[in-house]
Amino acid sequence: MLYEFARDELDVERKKQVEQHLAGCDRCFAELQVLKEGMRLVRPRRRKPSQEHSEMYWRNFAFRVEQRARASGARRPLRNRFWQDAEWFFLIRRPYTIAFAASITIIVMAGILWYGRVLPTLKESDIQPTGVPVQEVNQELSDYFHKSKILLVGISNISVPEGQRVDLTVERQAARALIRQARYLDQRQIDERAQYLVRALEKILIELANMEDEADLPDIEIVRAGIYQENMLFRIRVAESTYKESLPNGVPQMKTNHQ
Amino acid sequence: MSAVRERQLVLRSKEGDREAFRELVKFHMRQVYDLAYGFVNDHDDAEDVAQEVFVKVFHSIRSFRQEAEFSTWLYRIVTNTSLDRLKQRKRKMKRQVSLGESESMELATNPGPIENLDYSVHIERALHELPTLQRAVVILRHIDGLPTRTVSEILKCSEGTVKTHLHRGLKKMRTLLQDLYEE
Repeated sequence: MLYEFARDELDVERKKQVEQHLAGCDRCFAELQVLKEGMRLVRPRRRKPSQEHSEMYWRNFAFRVEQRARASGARRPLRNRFWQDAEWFFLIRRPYTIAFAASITIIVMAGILWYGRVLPTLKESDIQPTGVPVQEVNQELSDYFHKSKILLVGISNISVPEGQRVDLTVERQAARALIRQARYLDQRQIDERAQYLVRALEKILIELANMEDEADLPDIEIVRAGIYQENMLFRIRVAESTYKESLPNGVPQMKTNHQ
Repeated sequence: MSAVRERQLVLRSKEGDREAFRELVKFHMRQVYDLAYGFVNDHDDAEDVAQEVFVKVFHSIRSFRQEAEFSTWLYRIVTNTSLDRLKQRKRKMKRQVSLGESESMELATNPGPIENLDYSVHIERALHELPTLQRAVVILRHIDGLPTRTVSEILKCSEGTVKTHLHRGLKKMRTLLQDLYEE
């Protein structure tokens, strides 16, 4: 938040809070000075790199992109060659092609008629009532948040001695499994708030999954910072209890195969 | 360009309207170029990356689901393409070094005495000392002034991570630039 404060991007209320904090915290005040100095030295460019080129250059840019797009389209051999071959075959073997297409059509039509007789028509009572999938989704969400909570609490509590590395193989595997579960949940019809939380959580899990098997303190601190700054543990706990309460017996049943 | 107009152009481009696509290119080309330059620090590479980005957009705009802003999607492609370019360059340099052509390496990393360089060159040089993600955050958030949320969407990481990397990146750049001044 110090950066936003230094850039004067905070609203009045937040700005006042930061000012009050800075007045009593020497560490944050010193940090702000360092940050301001960094910002002063790394000021945005006065002249943009695109200004190095003439107007003529930019006028022709879109044209050059189109040319390149067309050229790269022509270099897509698989699809083009397939259609070219099909077209060529149709031209030189027209009677055979028509006969082949007619026989395929007859087979497909016969198949449709046969299935129409064999399969019973769908009755209204066969359709699942809407309440059942909602409960199912809630159970999956509760399960997902429960597992994520355990993982993030573990990461938050992990202790790494200065200068040493810690093995995170198990945590990374768990994160990958949870990412798969998040993607599966994202395709289900879940409410907007849950979707938002699942996506925010997924970002943290991706960071964890992408870490090296043996991580040092700064690496873990990045993930931890993400957890704390997003207030993730609190939000997960609230979501978990909300979805758990919506279940009939209030207890989530663990499901694992969402791949 | 208004958001509504941009949305219309995206929809028309998805249907294969070349005129609409051309308008999108014209509107975004300079920003894309500047952003790419921030990463690759070379005009030829920046032009190549910018063109490649729009070619990618041209071929994949139909799969763009418009859940995010078009510019966010576009900047993500710029970032990924630029980072790929840097990786290629690194591999190429490694090959050159392993072949014993240390001269070309020297030219690439040591463009000349500091006193002859413009201040912006110092910044570019310090920027390229940062780890990739930190550099991306400093360019997008600080230099290009994009909001933290947009940067987190482009880089697919949390807002907390963006803030952490920005803080560390600026601090490191301060040290590097101060060292340059002291020299």
